[in-house]
Amino acid sequence: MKVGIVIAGNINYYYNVTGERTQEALQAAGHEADLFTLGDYVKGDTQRSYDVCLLVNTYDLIVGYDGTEQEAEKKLRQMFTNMGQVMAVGLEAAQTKWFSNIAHRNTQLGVNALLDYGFADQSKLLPRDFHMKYQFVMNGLTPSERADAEDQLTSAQSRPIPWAFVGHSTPERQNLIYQLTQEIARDGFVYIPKLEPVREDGPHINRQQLQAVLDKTKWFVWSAHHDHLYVEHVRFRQALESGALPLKIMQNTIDIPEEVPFQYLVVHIDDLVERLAEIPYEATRKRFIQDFLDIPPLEETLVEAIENLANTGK
Amino acid sequence: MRQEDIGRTVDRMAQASLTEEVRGAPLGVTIIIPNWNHEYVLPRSVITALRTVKVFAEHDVPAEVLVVDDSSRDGSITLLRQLEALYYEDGFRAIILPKNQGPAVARNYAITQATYRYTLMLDADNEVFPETAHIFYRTIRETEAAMVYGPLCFLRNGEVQEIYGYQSIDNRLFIRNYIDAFTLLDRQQVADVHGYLNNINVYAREDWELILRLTVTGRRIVFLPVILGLYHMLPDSMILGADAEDNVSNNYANRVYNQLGFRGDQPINTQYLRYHPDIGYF
Repeated sequence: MKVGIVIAGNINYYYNVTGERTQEALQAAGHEADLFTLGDYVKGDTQRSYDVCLLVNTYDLIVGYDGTEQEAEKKLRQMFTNMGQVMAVGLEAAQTKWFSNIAHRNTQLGVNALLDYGFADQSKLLPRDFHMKYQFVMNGLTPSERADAEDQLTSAQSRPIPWAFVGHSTPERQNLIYQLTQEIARDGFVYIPKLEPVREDGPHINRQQLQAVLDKTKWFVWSAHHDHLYVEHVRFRQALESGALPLKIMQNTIDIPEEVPFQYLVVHIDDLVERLAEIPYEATRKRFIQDFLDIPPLEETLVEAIENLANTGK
Repeated sequence: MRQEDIGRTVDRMAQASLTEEVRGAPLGVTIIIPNWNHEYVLPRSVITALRTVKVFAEHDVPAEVLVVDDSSRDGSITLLRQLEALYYEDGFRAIILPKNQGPAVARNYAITQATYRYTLMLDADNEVFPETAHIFYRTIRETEAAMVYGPLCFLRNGEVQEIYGYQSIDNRLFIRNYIDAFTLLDRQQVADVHGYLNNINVYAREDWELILRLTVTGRRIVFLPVILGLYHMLPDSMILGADAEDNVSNNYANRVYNQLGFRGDQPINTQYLRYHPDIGYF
């Protein structure tokens, strides 16, 4: 299978990383996979054809294109003529407006298949106006990530920063940070800029910078600005890369599907102090790494999902 | 303290000789608290400052607390003399100015009277976290910055209102301030740029004016993403005035620091400088 993976390259690094991981996973499974931006493809001397084209966040591809949105959509449609099948890749919680917006953009462009990366199948949570074929992809590790995780199992890295919180500022998050300083430790790492698009050259912390922080941090704490299971799979993997322990704080009580892994690292805000006191850090850190290693590898789940979607869909 | 003595000191802030005066100050931290009629909240900031002196001592960093009272008319002066009697041995000093002159003069005067090289600028309605102040000290030593600031937690009646000073410096600072006066300063570098400006056009925004001056003179201002302390918002807190739309201050800042309007496109030395001593620049 020959797969072309399209990323924006200049908007949100979450999606760029997803493109890179997708390429690595497909190559590990013996497929040919190229990674490029829409701009690179358009400028290319020979515009290659692919059996499958994966769009890693269609919304960002359009916004990140060096031209108007109409021009970007026109170029995407032209590119699709060289592709066997076109599929969108998503990381979002199905209940969010953002998920619907991206789906709507895909449908407008004639993209009717979604590969949904995450820790839990969201097929029962899809919005009523969702008209794409849906395929869940369990977001396990790539070969290089598995090798790094094995190293983290035996790492004795010193972690002088007790906790780190990185995310845009909201009233709930500000309260949580105050609580952390009052009840856990005052010298945590706090980076909560105002909401604005994440760009590599902006004030946000990029992937390498976040990793440098987490390399020295015990607990990577976050709380989504809503209580849906959002990018847990991304945040948990970011913690894993540095060997830190992730901790998702829930502001409200929700029923988490049984199949979602790492539920021992999801804490209601009212239980935060008590739970942190009772969790044995080093043993839990090793358990977290081992549990992540036990999730099926991304190259297996991804290829199976692409084939399902290409052949039948759901 | 006679009025003319203070006036002479303030005048010296505009002379190069001041740099010489503060040069050679021993390493350490003077925690400066300017006070004006904050009798009821002053003990809270003094107590956290004294705790911070003890924590610095655990790290072999000499420190002291210096309150400069800007001629308060409430019971502050009596309180300060009592505090001085109780805590002088712990590093507490108080200076009473004979005439109210405003925060810029009080802060500048404190900077000239501080013992140590670095000054932690605490307001009477602030609390410093003793556990994190030393991380700020490590940062200013390791980066040689003129100023290190971090997020502050703003409380009103014990409830969180905002976490302020949340990100590193970029050119948006020329349009609106997002850094409070509650920072750690290298007073030698602050003296080099003549301290806080005592000018009605920047009243309650003297700290912003100083930050802009440090920025345009190529000084390093470093963001440390660790909470330095709490700001208890009172009905007359200066931050309320500083936060409000103020065309006079904005016009002044624009006229002095951005009159050609190209600051937004001009790289600044201190753009996005973020540092943590356990991480380095990131």
